[in-house]
Amino acid sequence: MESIPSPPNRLGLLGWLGGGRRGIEAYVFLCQRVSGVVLLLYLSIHVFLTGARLFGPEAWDRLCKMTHLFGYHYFEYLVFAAFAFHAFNGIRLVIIEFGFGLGRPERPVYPYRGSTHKQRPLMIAMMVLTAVLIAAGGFELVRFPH
Amino acid sequence: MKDRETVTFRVQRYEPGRDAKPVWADFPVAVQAGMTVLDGLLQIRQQLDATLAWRFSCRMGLCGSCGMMINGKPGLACNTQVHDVARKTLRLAPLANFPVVRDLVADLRTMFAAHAELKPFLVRDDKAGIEPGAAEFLQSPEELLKFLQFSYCIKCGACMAACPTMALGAGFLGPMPLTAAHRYNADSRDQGFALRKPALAGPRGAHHCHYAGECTRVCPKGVDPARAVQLARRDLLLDLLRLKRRRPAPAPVAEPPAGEHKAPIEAPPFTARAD
Amino acid sequence: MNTGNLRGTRYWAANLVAALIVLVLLGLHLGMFHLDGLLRQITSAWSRPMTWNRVVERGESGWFTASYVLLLGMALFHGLYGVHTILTERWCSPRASARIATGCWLVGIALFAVGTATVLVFHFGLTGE
Repeated sequence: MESIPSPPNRLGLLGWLGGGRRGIEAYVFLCQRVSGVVLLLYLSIHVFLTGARLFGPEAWDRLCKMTHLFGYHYFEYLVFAAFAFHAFNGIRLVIIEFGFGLGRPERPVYPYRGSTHKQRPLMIAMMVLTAVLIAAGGFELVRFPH
Repeated sequence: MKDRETVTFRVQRYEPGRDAKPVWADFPVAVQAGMTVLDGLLQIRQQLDATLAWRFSCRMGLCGSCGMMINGKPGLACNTQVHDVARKTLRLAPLANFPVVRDLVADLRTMFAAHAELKPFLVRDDKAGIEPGAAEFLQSPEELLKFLQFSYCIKCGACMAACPTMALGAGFLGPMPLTAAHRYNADSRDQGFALRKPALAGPRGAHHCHYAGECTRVCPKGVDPARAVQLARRDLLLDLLRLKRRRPAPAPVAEPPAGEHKAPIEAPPFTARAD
Repeated sequence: MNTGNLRGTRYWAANLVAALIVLVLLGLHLGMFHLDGLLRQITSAWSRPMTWNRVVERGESGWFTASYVLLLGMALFHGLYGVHTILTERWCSPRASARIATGCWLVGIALFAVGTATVLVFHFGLTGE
């Protein structure tokens, strides 16, 4: 059969968004990826910035002051939020990975209620914990600024 | 509600090799209650444009031929009612993440190649056990339920078009083939886990599923590929930790008595209908 | 029949273990640095973690030094495994996969070397201060 000279018609990165038509789990997956990449980027910066302590207390204090000058601590709060989300959602994914929370395979009867429905209480619980941790971090940022 | 309403079918037209890029064509379709997207397409072909290409066969959600993007969501044209998804405009495009043959016809060969790679058939150590007519195997209802759901797959490709991992590139075998692999891994008659493992755990294997759940959401048969892939991943992990129970394949129920060995049933010769 | 475990599953399992270690260590790390105000409400013994004296205290502690190195290694492995996964979903030819894997290892080793050197130099007081 001759090959078809067609592009693969992939939805690409924008396909992750799905124009708002995707289910909640798909957007959680997207946030997991974005938060993971943000955390890795932050870690790379963090490794170099914290190296300032090798140059003594003045250099360290100068760095601490400088980070506040550019609102870096707000960015750090976002990183904290990213961690909270990534960690709790990651716990959910590992639980699911071991087959828990998915429900057993069943005879499909319309209207179908798949494993995504079965694991939703777990997901909601994890998102509530994420929200609590992010709120605690926000309270800290406002009430006890460094 | 009026008896008949006009809904504009905005259909993606594209013939690779002839057209530079896909274009949208509008067709006004008179829609009445209960009418499916497939009915609308047939109306277009009969009354407006006979050159519009799509694939269909059974018209009742069994064959999986008419999978397409319906308002951006993969589904079967034959079991989607127009009024459930559109009042004014309905957008139809070929299944995403597949090459396009023409208009609404997607080239599913990549899916079937991945399917074949995962050995979607019963594998037995005792070759005689799967000779046609040789024997029956015992299977309890509980054992049946472990894979029954996954055996309802009609290979329509909707899950593959919905998968966000597949949206990015060809680095994932996809929900349908992996579900088929688990369907057989979970079958008490099968002993093919080790044979499927290289593809299942390979560079394009189950580890690329991140449980976005889209496959399960769009599956027109309630197969739940997301569950199957997670269970396949659990099997892989348990196998790595040497915790996976090795299932002794059930013995054949009974050997047919000597001299009564039934020959495999042969299909009657195909004859074209006279009309 | 081949019943050996394949690299994909081994890496995935290692990634899960790394994730678990990161979860605990990074949880403690971020709790200490980002929720210190709240922690001070619970125990007055909790002083500000970013002051120089506290930085020196931690740097001299063997436990902190070891946990920093472990956290850095595990976090880099987990993070770069994720990046590798994303990139190989897009570019999956054997050649591209090999390049992506090499790139991830190089970046990981470089960052691990920088971070570990910083922690160890500080721990053993080799800064010349």
